[in-house]
Amino acid sequence: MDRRSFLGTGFLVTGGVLFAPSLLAAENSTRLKKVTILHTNDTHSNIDPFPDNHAKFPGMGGVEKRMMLIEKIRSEEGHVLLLDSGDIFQGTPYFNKYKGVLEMKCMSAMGYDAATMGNHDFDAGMEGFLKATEHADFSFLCANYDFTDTVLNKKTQRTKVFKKGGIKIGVFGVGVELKGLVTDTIFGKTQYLDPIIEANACALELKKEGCDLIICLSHLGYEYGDEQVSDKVLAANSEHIHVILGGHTHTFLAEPTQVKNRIGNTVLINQTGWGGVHLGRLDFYVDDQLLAKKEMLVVQ
Amino acid sequence: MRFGIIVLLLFILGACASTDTIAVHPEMISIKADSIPNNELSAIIGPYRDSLKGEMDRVVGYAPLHMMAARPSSSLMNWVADAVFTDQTRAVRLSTPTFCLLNNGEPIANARVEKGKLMVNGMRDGVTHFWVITSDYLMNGGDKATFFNKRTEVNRTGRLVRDALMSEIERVGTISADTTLRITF
Repeated sequence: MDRRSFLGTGFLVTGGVLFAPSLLAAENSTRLKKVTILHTNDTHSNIDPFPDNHAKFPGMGGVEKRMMLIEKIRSEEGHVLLLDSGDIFQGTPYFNKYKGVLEMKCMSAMGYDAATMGNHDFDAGMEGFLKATEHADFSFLCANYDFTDTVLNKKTQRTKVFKKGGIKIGVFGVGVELKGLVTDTIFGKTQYLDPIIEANACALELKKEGCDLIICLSHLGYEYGDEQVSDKVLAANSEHIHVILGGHTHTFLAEPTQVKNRIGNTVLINQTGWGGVHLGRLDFYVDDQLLAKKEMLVVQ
Repeated sequence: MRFGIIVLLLFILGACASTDTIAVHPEMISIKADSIPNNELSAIIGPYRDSLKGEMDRVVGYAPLHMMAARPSSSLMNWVADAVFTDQTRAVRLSTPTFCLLNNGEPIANARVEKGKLMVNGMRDGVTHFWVITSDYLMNGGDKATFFNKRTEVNRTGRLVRDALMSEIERVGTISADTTLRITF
């Protein structure tokens, strides 16, 4: 009987309240499972920090500092997943000269688990991307670029499942329409598939595989004034996605945006700006009891 | 007994159903530090950084004065348009009038805009078309350059604006600083 009334509370929270009630925090509870998601987007070949006299980001960013931060978090947390939402390439002479090889080496050393492709990740051509990713020991997830008739056939994956701290995490990636952003001759025979249809299909597959947490890496862009599909549009038209980690529009969000999906659940959208000046961190707590802290957001 | 088993089964099924609460604690962390740490990455980046420095930290040419971008026309913008125009017209001889138009302000070369009217050098009676040397960004309608939708022909050069500018600087040594106002409304 107790359990039944507890479930009732849970559904109410899912249906309407965005911030969890201040029930309690019980990190030491044996039933509480935690995973830390770290993420970046649009790092744009910023290997070195911005110069100290930079108007917006003086001395900020740089992969060595990013790695120091990631290592610190890894030493404090047992279960960390590190993700990127694309546009790893283009923006500094490092890319022009080394065609993305250094970016891939750095991300591998930092221990990235997965990334999706941004439009600028085509800037060395698909052969160039392929060559650079020989140095990547993490997966590229692209659900709505059909690379069947290209050199990238079978080089990317639709989805990937990770198990961290007893939590099963399903991750997939969606990208922006390339026509108009990337020269036709470069993306060649890549077929662009509807991001909303593919995202929902991936999320459903991952749910059926028993994933507790479903993450979409998106390079669609945060929001547009017209009908172009954005993270906000995708979130509102989705069903099983918990979080969209976005990119492309270089949007800096101080905290995740909350959007109701088409069955009334909350989807979080996060984006870290660009240039590697911020690292997004989302600590997820999964439990069959409502153990959310006051300052937490509830997505299911 | 049977009732007991059914109740137990229901309880187990209930426990397996996806009723987990997922709560999130978000944080956006700024990446800053007083000094660049020395870690595994430093060794990876080192050779690339040194080699790039050798290539980047060299004098490719000279400017006679401090040149800056300004609207509607400035010495820097005039030079950028002139350099791209020269780079391309040296490569390809075009029989029809040609001018260069780029973005970031309105750099224009081999043409001027007088009181809002475009005057392309070499335009004369009977000539109905001209070539515009521009970037793929503008040609694809970027920066609201929708007039390029009316184009009749496209010739993709594959040349990067950056490379055109570099090669012009290296070719002339000291670049020109033309402060003429090429655009008036």
